[in-house]
Amino acid sequence: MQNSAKTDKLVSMQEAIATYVRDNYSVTIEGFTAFICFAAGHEIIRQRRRNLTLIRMTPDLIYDQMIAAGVASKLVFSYMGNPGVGSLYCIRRAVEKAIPCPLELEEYSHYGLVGRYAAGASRLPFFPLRSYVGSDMPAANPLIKLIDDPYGTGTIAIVPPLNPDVAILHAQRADRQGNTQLWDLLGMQKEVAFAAKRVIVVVEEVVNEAMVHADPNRTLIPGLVVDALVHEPYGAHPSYVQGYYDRDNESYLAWDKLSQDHAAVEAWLDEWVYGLPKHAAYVQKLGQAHFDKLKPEPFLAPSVDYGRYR
Amino acid sequence: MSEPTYTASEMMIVVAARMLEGARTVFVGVGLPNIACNLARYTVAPDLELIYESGVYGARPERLPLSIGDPTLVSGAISVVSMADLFGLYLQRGLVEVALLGGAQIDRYGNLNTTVIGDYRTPKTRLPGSGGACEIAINAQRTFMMIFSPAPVT
Repeated sequence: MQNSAKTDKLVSMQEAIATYVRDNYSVTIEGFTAFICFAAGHEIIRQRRRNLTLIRMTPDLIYDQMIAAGVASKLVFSYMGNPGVGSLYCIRRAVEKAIPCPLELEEYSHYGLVGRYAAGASRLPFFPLRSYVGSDMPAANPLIKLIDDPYGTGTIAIVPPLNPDVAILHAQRADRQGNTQLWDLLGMQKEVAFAAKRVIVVVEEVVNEAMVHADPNRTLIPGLVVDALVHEPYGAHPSYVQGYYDRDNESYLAWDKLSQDHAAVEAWLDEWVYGLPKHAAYVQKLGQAHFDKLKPEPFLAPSVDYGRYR
Repeated sequence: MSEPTYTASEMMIVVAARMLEGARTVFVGVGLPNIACNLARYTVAPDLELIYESGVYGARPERLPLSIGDPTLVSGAISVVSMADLFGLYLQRGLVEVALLGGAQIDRYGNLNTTVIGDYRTPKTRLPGSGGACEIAINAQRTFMMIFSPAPVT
């Protein structure tokens, strides 16, 4: 897609996934407990992508679902779990028993993967970090290297850059050119947007340009690096978006029980993913009352004065 | 002797909270440490600032967080930053006095396993992985662990 300052990037989720997520690609749907774009993950399952390398610091329910559906052959990660609840049984079945297919793992600590994204974002050859010394992790992953600091402070760990083929990043709002504003646990959303070769931004609200220009410090992802913009309200459910909706913890607890049985997971995917044409149908099936219960009471930040200089 | 009116978890939480007495900063781990650090702030360490790897410095949670990533950790906090800033500027910079972490297995020397049980390539049980534990243990001034031991330590 052409990416001029005026390019309107708004497309449907179906179109964004069909255009930018291909078989064999490396794909990251980032987000640290917040901003996790389940809607995009479900669309990737519906479009039956195969042999993807999934990347994320904290794989949780959506990667569990995608791996159970057979879309991935490799997972790059630093902590996998159902946050605050327990294990991810689908990923464990893939790793321990090759169900539904084998899953290769490439493993880091958080700061290692943070460093890989940071090096990828600024196109550096490696990222140095004080970690891994004394740990068994470098033996398990040869991409983590321990070297002598050329400036003489001793051993330092390095990790190589990571440039995913596609990043899918959820946020509160963007204008139609993809200039994106977010406030929340920021994870590595900004750096990943600069690291990836293609970027799909998914937002709760599409706003006019004036809204973005009125508060430039909140614009962490410029449209310059965004290829497609998708408007998908509640697209991060059952995870959360600060100020818009809370985590739907019942879904996380229910998944803990359901996901222990592969047949039950397949039935769930049939009902909630394959059986629905798009995310709006998922929202409709759950019902607006369900989402009303997840809406927090307001806690407004005071506005600030940037001043006008002319 | 009468039955205790508390669980083993509750006792561990109280003991861990008391070990944070007087501390200024704590890096809060997943699970029981989350509860212990919040308890310490209400009791023995009122000046304690809670640091979460999710990017939060100085959290003021109004409910018990469901995990180390919860919107209640953002609303009302002193600062919320990217994970690059959290690990680089707060942890690696040396601003973390105490880290309080959980884990799956630990030996008497303090070596911690949250990765696999069994062979790495063909594990019997695949555990969550390091998360931030590897660099937290290296860069925090002190590291405390909270772990259930189903059998006596050998």
